[in-house]
Amino acid sequence: MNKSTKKFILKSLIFFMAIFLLNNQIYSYVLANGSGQGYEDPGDGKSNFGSTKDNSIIDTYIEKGGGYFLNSFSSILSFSNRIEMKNIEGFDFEEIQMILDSAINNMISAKSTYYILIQIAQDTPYDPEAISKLRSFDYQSFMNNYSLNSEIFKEVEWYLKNGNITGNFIRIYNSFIKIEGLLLSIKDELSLNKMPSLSTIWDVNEEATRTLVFGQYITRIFNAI
Amino acid sequence: MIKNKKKLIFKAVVFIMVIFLMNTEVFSVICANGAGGGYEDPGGGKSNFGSTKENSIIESYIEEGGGYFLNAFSNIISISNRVEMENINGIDYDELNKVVDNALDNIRNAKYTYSILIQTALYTPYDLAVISKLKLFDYQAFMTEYSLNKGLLLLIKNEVSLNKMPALPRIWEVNEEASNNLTFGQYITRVFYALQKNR
Repeated sequence: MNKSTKKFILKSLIFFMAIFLLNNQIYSYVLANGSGQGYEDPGDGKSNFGSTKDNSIIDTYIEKGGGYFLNSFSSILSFSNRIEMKNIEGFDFEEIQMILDSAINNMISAKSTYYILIQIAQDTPYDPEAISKLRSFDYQSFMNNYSLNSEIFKEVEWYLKNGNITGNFIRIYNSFIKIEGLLLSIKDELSLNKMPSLSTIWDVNEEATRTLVFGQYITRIFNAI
Repeated sequence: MIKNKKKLIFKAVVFIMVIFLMNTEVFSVICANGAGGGYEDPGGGKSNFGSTKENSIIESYIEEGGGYFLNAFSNIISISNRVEMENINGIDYDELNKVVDNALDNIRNAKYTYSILIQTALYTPYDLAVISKLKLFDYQAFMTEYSLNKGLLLLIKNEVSLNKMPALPRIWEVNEEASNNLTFGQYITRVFYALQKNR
């Protein structure tokens, strides 16, 4: 193999590695992801912080719980769409009940997943490096740079600055319980073929929206550190 | 006896009316609804405020635009779900492309409906009774705020159509913008709903 061929192979390898890294989300995603890196690995007590792969049981539960929540929220929005359009397209009680059931089932799964996640997180020591980074992080500038919602961001900051990552999970879990309760009360009204009360629908939408933004801010911060 | 019967019939009618009003959404629903009550009726120049029926062309456009927006937001959340579950379920790019296309179609329809709504609203006088109640409410600013940034979705579409995972910051931005819009629109509905109830 001559020198130029070696050079070509090396260049190709670097190119493919760059493509691979660009296409693989080193670190995920939407709802509270990345916070698994704030814990030591439950298996061998090693630090996960800065790892390039999705690496811990905690991250897997975060992804699973987030997935169920997002499915539920998508159904909640479809449900809201049917209510919004009822004067234009009419109202199919059977269809809307199916959408609502899907929202409830996904929310129940999200809640159970988060319950297990909290148990595991409580039994797992924090990674000191991650905690120290979270304490010294410049939250104010970060919030200003991305024009984030200050009310929600301050809440996230309060947990993370105090090194209480698990507190975030508990906060999200409590929101899931609240959303599930609201969805069940809508189901009760619908099962009587009655239009659900508007204020309950508004409450569900606002709680789900808040939870999404809350979880996403956690991901944004872990992504930044 | 006859007096008692009349009383009973009167009570029954009142009862049925109450039930009817409780079950009819006098005033809807989720995204900025009820704001149509802030305008005079384009037909007869009459006030719509406090009407017990869905009352103006403006209100219909708000409903239609809100419906499209909610569908788009639901699609956007589905995209986020696919991205979130990528490690567990893998990614089906064909399916993801369809979801992104749906989101774009719905957001385009929402924007188109809102552009007609804005034109209609610009040529319709405000209902002074409502405006005096709202005082500082700036509807035009709301219209501007409300439109979702289609450009972000187009960037996501460009990436997905190349079978590439969309960049996370774009997903976050779309989610946050849609969340802001939903909350903003819903607060308007809440305000108009409260005005209506206190009338």
